[in-house]
Amino acid sequence: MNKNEFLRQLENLLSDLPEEERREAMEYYVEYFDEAGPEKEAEVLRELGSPSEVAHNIREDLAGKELMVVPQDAEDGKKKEKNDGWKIACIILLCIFAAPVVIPLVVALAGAIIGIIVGLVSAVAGVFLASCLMTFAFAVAAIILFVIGIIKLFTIPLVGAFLLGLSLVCAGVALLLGFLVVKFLLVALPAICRGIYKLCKRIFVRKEAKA
Amino acid sequence: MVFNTGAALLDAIVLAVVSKDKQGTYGYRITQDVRQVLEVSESTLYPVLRRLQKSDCLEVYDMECAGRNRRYYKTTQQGEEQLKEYREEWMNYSQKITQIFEGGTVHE
Repeated sequence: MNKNEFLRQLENLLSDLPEEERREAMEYYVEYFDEAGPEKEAEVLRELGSPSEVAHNIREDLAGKELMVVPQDAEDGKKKEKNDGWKIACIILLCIFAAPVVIPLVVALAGAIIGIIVGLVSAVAGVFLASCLMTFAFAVAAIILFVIGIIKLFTIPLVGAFLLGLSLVCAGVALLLGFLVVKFLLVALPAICRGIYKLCKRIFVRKEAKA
Repeated sequence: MVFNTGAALLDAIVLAVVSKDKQGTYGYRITQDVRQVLEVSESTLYPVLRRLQKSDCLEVYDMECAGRNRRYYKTTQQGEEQLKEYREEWMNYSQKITQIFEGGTVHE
């Protein structure tokens, strides 16, 4: 940029100001360049900065705002603010464009996780139910076998003895399964419930701590 | 330079620089003189001069010089009084800061 280019741009940037203000500012800077002389033109251009900076300062002053004087290299701070705004705009744009891909992925992932949880719960419930039923079935079998066994004792003793033996076995199995079912109800189930409660608490307490 | 210069202090400095010349001085000279003391961007100085002029601390007159027009800035009576106030304020302010730096207590 040279002096004339600078002055031309400056005048453009000040065109929305009252005529007297613009004229006085332009006169000042034309005179400034003249005083410095052609040999110092480059130095002056460097000292002044960009026409937009100069125009900005003039406008701010007219608006009655305080102009803080900062050491020259700290004026990059202004540029940094502009960069941050630009960065935020880019991030928002990226989110908007990525959404069509990301949102279905997230939904699918959530669905998968829910599916696994439901599956696990069903499996546990299924095993539990099956155990209950089997306990019941074996108990019933034990009773029936016992009764028939006693009856058969009077006709074919060996068969009766065999049946009695079987009924004892069934009773044993029923007792074992029953014992397990009851233990599950008394111990495992509350433990699972407590575990879930603690997990939920951790999630919510963490949120509170973050806030 | 480590410390920023607020607008009031800058006004005071420019006023002091102009006041040194009883006949007044012109924009380019003022800028060079101020920049010997402070690292200010030149784009900040014109608004200061304009502000001082609008608040009647400085008056302007033009003089033809080597076929060119030169605008001179001179302190007014009001400007001189304002400068005196600035000087006193600065004495107070800088003394207190010096005291704090040198580890003394701040007296009213």
